[in-house]
Amino acid sequence: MASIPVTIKHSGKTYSLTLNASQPPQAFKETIYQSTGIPVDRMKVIFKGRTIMDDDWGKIALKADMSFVVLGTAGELPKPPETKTVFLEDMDDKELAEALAYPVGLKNLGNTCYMNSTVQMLRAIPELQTTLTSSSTSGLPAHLGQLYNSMSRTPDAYIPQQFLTSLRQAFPQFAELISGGGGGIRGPAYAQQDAEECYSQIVANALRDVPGPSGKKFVEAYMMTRLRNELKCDEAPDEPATVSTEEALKVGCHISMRTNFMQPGIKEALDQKVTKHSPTLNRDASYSQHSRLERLPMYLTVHMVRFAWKSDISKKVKIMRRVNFPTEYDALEIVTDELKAKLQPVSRRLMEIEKERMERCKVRKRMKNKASTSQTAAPSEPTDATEGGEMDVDKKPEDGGDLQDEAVYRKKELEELEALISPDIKADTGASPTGLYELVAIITHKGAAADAGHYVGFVKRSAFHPRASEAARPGQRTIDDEDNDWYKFDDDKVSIFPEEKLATLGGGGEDASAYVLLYKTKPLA
Amino acid sequence: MPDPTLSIPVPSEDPKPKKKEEPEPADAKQKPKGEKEQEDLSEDDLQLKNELEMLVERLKESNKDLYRPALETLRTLIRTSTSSMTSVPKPLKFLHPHYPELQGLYETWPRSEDKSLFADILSVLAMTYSDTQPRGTLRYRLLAAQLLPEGSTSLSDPGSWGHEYVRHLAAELSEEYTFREQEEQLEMKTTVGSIDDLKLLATQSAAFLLGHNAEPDAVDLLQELEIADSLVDLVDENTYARVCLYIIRCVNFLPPPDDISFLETAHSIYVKHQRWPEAIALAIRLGRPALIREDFNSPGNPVMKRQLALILARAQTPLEWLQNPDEDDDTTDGLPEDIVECLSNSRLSAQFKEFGKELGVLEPKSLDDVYKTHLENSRASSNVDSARGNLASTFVNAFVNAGFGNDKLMVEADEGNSWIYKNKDHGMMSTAASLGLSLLWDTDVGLGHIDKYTYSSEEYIKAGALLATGILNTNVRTEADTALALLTDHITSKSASLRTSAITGLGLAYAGSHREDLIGLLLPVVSDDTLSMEIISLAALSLGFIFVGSGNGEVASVILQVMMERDDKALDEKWGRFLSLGLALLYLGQPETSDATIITLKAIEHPIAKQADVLVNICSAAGTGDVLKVQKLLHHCEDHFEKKESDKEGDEDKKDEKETDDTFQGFAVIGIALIAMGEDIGAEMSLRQFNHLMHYGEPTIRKAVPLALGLISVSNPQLSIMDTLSKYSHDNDLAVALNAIFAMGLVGAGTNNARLAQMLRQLAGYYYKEPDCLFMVRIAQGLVHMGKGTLTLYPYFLDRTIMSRTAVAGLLATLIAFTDAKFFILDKYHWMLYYLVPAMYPRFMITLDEDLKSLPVTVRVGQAVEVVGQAGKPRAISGFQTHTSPVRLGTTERAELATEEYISYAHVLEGCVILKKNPGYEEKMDI
Repeated sequence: MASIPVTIKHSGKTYSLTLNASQPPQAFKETIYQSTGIPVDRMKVIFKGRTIMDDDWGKIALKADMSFVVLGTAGELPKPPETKTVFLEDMDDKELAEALAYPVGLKNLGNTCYMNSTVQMLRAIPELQTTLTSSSTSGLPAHLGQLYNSMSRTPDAYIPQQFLTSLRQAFPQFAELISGGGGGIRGPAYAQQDAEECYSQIVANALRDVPGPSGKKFVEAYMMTRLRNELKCDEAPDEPATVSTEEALKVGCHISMRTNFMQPGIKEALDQKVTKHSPTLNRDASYSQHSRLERLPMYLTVHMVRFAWKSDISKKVKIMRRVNFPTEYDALEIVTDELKAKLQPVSRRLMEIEKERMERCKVRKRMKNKASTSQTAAPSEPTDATEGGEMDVDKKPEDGGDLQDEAVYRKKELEELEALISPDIKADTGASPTGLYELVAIITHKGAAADAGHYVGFVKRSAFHPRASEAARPGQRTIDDEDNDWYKFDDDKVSIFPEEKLATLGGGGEDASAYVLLYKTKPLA
Repeated sequence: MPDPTLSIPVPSEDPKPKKKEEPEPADAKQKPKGEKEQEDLSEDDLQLKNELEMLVERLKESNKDLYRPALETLRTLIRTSTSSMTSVPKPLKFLHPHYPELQGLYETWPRSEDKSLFADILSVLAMTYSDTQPRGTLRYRLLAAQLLPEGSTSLSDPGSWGHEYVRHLAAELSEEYTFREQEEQLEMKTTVGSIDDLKLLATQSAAFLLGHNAEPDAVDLLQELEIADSLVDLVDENTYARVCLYIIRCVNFLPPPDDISFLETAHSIYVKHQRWPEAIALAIRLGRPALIREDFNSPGNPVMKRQLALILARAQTPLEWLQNPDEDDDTTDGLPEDIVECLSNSRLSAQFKEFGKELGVLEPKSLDDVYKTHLENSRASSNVDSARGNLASTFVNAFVNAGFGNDKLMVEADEGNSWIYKNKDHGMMSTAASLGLSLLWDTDVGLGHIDKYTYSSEEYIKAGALLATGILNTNVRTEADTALALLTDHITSKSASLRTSAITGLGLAYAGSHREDLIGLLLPVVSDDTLSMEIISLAALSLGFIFVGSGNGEVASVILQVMMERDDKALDEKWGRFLSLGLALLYLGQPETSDATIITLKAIEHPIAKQADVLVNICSAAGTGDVLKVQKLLHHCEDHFEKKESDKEGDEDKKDEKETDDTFQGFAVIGIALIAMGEDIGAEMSLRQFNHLMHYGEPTIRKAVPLALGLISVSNPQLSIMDTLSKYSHDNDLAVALNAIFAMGLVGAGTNNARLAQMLRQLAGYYYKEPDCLFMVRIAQGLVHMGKGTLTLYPYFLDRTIMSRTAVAGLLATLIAFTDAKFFILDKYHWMLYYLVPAMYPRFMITLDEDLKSLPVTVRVGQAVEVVGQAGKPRAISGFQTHTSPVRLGTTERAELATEEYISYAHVLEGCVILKKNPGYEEKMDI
């Protein structure tokens, strides 16, 4: 009599068991354990609204064909992840600023957009910020360092009051007042200034003494280019050409009636006709000046000479002409032949390598898609570990063909390129090893008039955040490898500016047109 | 006692204006140019006129023998001339001038059978004088009956005088009836005939009307004379369907006692004609266990019983109701297993998943499928976890993937990678509980998933798992009573969060079950005055859920006692509203039983009594469309200003108290929606009220208006309401905006409405810096895509006629929590959003064969059209599309079978419908 046939239900399955009524429920649970594999201490046996205890059947009258429901898990219990999630709500302002999407903007303090855009552009030079914070400086550079520091610690738009005061102290021309300007009835206001002038002043004068790597000054190392000018008299072919070198912080882009692209514009600016007293002819004669760059720095500034002095109306006017600028610039055309010879091997090779990289990237993407469709059936695969596709590829060598981890390729390529760099250039810290540049920051001017309008800064996102594949530490804010979008800094308004729209900054209308462009040399790996 | 003059909005006086016009021109024409008139008459007419005049003359003569033939000829002439419907019958026209004369003559006659006949004829002629001598027709008709010698049957049926006469009589009958009722009150003398005579006549007229396609007239007449119940015997095979349809549609416009009796009448008619599904639907609506039991046990066909069981399961009818109270108290033994299975909704989960599969929405939806952030014109997403954002995602994930049991974040999450740990503290509780929503109704497999988390060392997760157990069991019953078994122990737990979860879980799992054994479990918690208000109130609310609409006296008295005995400080807490709501839910949809409680509440001084009073009132009138109640509630809403004015001289304390506690006004606003939502016209009218309240109301009221709008149009995204809410969602008062956003979610719940989705995306951009609002936008987005568009929150079912009490309880509890969103939803009690679960139900129509196997047939789905009182057999749907079942039904949509191959057991194609083969189908094909 003691054995009763009963059924138990467990996660949709029914088992038929025998229950020994003379023994405590504990024994019955053992029986259940044998057929379901649920450990007894984690087993819940339920009958009509009651959970059965271990040692007593309680009020339950045992009958044949009773049906019990059994709950419990045979396997592991869910475990909390090892690293605790950090929440936005728990962060302080600094962490917030880093974690949140955007670098902050700067408040306009009355016609200071020229300064704001300049400051934002200089932010695209990360070396500058590290230098400013590490070395002890004073005056304007110190204030600039502080400004950058504060900007990285706040999630909201920053008021650059201190820096502005310091800037006006250092360069009184920026404190120029105009009556009835932006101030309206409130009296004189600060005048609008030329952003290019601001940029030049800061780079050329204010930052002049900031120390840089290997005993050089910062600007000298990273931003200075050397021009080799060859002056030849057109009217006296026999006259020997005079050769001089000069240092410059920027390359101008002359905009003439025929200029449509930046490269010819720069060339035009470098090859000029000048009128000069000729010692051989003993009169003023026309000379051709032929300038070439002797040194290419890490950061190359291109100045679109959009503001021209028109003598007939004795006024500064803006040249509205549209000039297309490239996002990748090959500077080999404007360097001296000697330099060209040094750079060319590396430059050629890098270009080839880039093509290969792109190829690999495509293959990976394709495979990732394939993998993700085939993997939906098996969702147990960790999904967040497949960032960038590398892990996926590693796991599925049969799909991935002969592709290896991207880092392996990069390392190889880097070694190959390093070997190609000419030793002279290697020794010159801060010089561009390849002459290939990518655009990282732009200052644009909006409006038709030269002394009015609005300056807006644009900085490439990758200048702020490392690529996902090269993140230095986990948890850092990164962007996708293919993400080539930009930030638009319209004073305190910061927004994403898609890559595709960059071409609209070429000019040709009253809307924002590129004025100062900052190119950064391409990394080797 | 409601004022009768106010409460009878539709007197049956339609024929009157017509009558007024008709005699007038005849009068005017005949008097000044009588001669001319005569010339215009055709020969036939002239002859008729002369004949009639001759007959009248004969009546004036002294020869009594000629009276009877003369009268009879008159009668025949009148009767044969009623051929035309548009003009006045010729004999009436010619006899019109003689009427006063004949009246005088009539008075001189002695009592005789002839006089009775004379009276009958005068009664017809009186139709032409209804403007100057009101109710003449009726008077002479009654006189005719009175004068009739006993035993004589020669008095003709009123119908023999034609349709117009009966209509006329009907109008006068109801007039006379109200007139006499007033007379009675004024103790004036009665005239001819007794009330019973009137009723008899009314019955006769109604029988005629019913026989001549004028069902509404008949119903109106009998209703006015308060003998609607006699309809049961009057209707036949052909008329009962239309009559019942009309009766049921009238119910919303009747004052309280009448509406119940009307429903009862319709119910009896259905029972008489053995329309069990319709009958049981009405029984459910009436909420009478005895009727339901009777209807359920009446049909002999076991398949029909299954269908009834399916309907009862949708209504969450307690199983106990089907058992005879005298019998053994063991609940399910008496019923066959297949019926129990239907009744306990055991297949709901499987059916729902299959439905999802048919529709191709089985695949889990990810969060970005819902948010569609790439369409938001906003900023790049940050990859840092925001606790608030993740919590919103928890709810969205749960709502969107509800019932499918395969969401990516919780159920199918990788080991150790569960979304739970992406949440903070109390967020973990809601996240663990979301498991219950994802695995909704799946009692077989789902509980195993949840069980894992009950061993967690984290208290919040454990609490969440308990809540999940409750949520999972919502709307389904299991034999093993797993929810009860698993949750009972934790009712007395020391940890407050475990305790509240267990209590709430029980409330959800057993909502509407009326299980007596739960009283013993939960009621001691309510009466324990050492516990915090939070626990007590939630226990009271859970009891309210379980005993919703039961009027359970035991629970009510304990809650009232708490209100009387607890100190003011405790009652002042915001939790008090849930204590009141628990009490109010007991009377949901039960207008008759709440009076005693309301009177008791008046005796309680604390302001909580006011809240409770409003809540009990609105709950008991829920869905009735009672305009008087709505008016009262509007008074509540304006009360505040008057009090403020009048209290100026009064002592400061009193004024302060009034100002601090205006919570009840918010409830009153929600109450308007709750009462009006039962009926379309009232609902539309209330929209205007809300507009006013929004303009002139205090913040408390303004906060509640969006919620009310949400309630009135749950899962029914009407353009006008969406636009209004969209406007409110940009309100300066963030609390209003927040509630409006939530209401947008409610309005679109489970509809996938693209317009709402677009609005919400725009709001997400607009409020990206307001974490509270953004949170709510996310929740609303989750609601709109609830169940991937397969679920609804609409609390009415069976062609929008029956209110699901548990659904309303769920909606109401959520809305009440939103009356102070800052304290509840936005703080630690976001899990209150799960109070919506009892209202969640698949909006499917599944066709089953007699063995409950799925049976795909073609059905037409279209917008429902009102067909009540329309002539002929109008189409019930418009703009339909033909699909193969199972199909998804919108809130205002109806389905009908597109094939004649099958006949449905249910009267409304909704939910699970059993079909049987049409036996006559094959033969039809042959012809």
